[in-house]
Amino acid sequence: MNPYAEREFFSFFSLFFQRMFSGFSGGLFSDERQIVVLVFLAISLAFLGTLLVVRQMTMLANALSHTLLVGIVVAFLLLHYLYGELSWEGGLPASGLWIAAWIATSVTTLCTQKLTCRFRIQEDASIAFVFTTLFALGILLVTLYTKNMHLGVEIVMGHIDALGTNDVKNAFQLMLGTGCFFGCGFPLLRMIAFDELFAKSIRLPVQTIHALCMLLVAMASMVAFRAVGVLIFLSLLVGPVLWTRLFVHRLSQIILWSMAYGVGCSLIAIGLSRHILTRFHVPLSTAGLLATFLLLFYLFTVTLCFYYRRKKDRSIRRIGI
Amino acid sequence: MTYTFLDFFTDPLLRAPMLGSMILCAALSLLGVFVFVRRSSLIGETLSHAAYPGLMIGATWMSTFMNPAQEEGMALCLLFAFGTTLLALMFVRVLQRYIKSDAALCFTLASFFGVGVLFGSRLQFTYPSWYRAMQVFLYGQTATLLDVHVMIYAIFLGVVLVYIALFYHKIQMVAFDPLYAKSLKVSLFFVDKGFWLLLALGITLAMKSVGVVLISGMLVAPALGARRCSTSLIHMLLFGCLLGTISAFTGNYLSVKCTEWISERLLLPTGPLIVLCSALCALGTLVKKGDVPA
Repeated sequence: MNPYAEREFFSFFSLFFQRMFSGFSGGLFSDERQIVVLVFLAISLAFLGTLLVVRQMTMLANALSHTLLVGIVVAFLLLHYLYGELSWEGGLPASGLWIAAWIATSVTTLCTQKLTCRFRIQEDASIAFVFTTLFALGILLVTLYTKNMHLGVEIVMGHIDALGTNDVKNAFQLMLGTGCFFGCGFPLLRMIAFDELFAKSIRLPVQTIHALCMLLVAMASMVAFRAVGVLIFLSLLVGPVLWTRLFVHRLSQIILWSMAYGVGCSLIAIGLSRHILTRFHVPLSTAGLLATFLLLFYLFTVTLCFYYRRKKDRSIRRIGI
Repeated sequence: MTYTFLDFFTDPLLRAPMLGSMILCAALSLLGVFVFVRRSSLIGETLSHAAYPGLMIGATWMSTFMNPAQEEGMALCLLFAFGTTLLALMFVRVLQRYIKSDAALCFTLASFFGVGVLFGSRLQFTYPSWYRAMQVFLYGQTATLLDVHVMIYAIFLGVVLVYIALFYHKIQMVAFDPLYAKSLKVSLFFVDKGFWLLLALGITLAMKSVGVVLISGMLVAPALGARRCSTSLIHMLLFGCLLGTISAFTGNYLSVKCTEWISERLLLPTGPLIVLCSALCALGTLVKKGDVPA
């Protein structure tokens, strides 16, 4: 029996914190799994998102989240071939996730780099070309092997109520991995983010770090696609960083504040979704609520900022093409 | 039953999907060439995803007094989709002035789609039949095209052609040197806005046949192939159009023929096949020697 049933917004959180301090007796319930996975996800995405936004590579993350489909299909077939029957329901085991993420990352980044450097095609066109082609291939493979589109829809939408303990473990590993990566190499990453040429000139392993970073992004989208779907993952990746950048201008502080903002937003989204279910008996998608909340709050804050800046200085003229 | 080559254009069942997707691909690759030379290939992806909330909001409203079998309800939903596509376009254009272009695109894509998911989850609970009808647009179904849709696509292609023919020089200026146009005091306002309007319209129309997730492939791949083989914009347009049409034909042909050749139960979706065909064509052009200045 889920103790969170029939709870409203504030009583939901009071119960959650009560249970948190008593060490979650009786295992994690569905809502707690959601909270834990989303919090881990928001923390690791704050790290990755900051780096991607600063390096102007967020659309590469979008491309990765699409090509992941190919990675998943290949990894699934591989594991199926190696270990026999596997059920999709419990989530892929961590080894499968890593294989899938690795395949997707290497194929996408290699193809994009080849097209951009060797064939001198504009970067945005090559990204768009690579990921749409691979995504089409992925859909074709899925239809070939599963004979239905169910998997495809599930990836896009996510299914937060079906999170298993496997997913919690994966999310925790992801957070640990990202934390270690950033904790160890923060000065390095900062240098690469702002001055890649200089980093190259003093022989830092820029390519390796870039590849590792992309692998982490792929892994994050893999964890996210079980929980919130690949597209809401993007909103959690970019949204908090954009919001934070309105006020904060130091890299380390951007990471910290967007972490706090992302975690707060995910908590509010989960609480709100439970509240609406209790009060109005309508099950709304938590992922959708999260993305909508991020959008609305960003718009609200931007409007406020502009209002105050306009008041301060009315003589700003902007030229737009 | 085996179909001959000619059957694809005359058989009442196969005619509409084949002609429809060919005409649509021709129109989209023309637009795609312009998107490509303006260096904003990724905007197609954002706009196509931004159409999804429109569909869902439209369906949420329609579902209170219609059932999904009615064609006019679907058409109204597409109108809503067109509306949100335009809204997303405006949003991106405003955001791009203040933040980095890629972050603006990514944020718009994800948050608009999120709004769609939110409305979709409500619809799924209250009117599951509407939800299923809308979910089809995610991956598209070329096989459900009718003769009416072919007519609509043909009109759209006509509009695109007329637009290009009338404003060819101005479009060139917008794409390559807007500052030069400004110095000549040529107003590009309406040409620019018309282009984005046509792009949004094309994306909305294409949802019926290839679906939200693959439209950007149809925009980019033919243009990429055409870029390699041409040195002027007009050649690029012609070549891109040709590439798009051929790949639409091949995709449809393969999708029907594979069922025939391999097994009765194997139903390959047409949209991905079209995208894969045009990607293969584009990759084929990469073999051509020599560097093309980027």
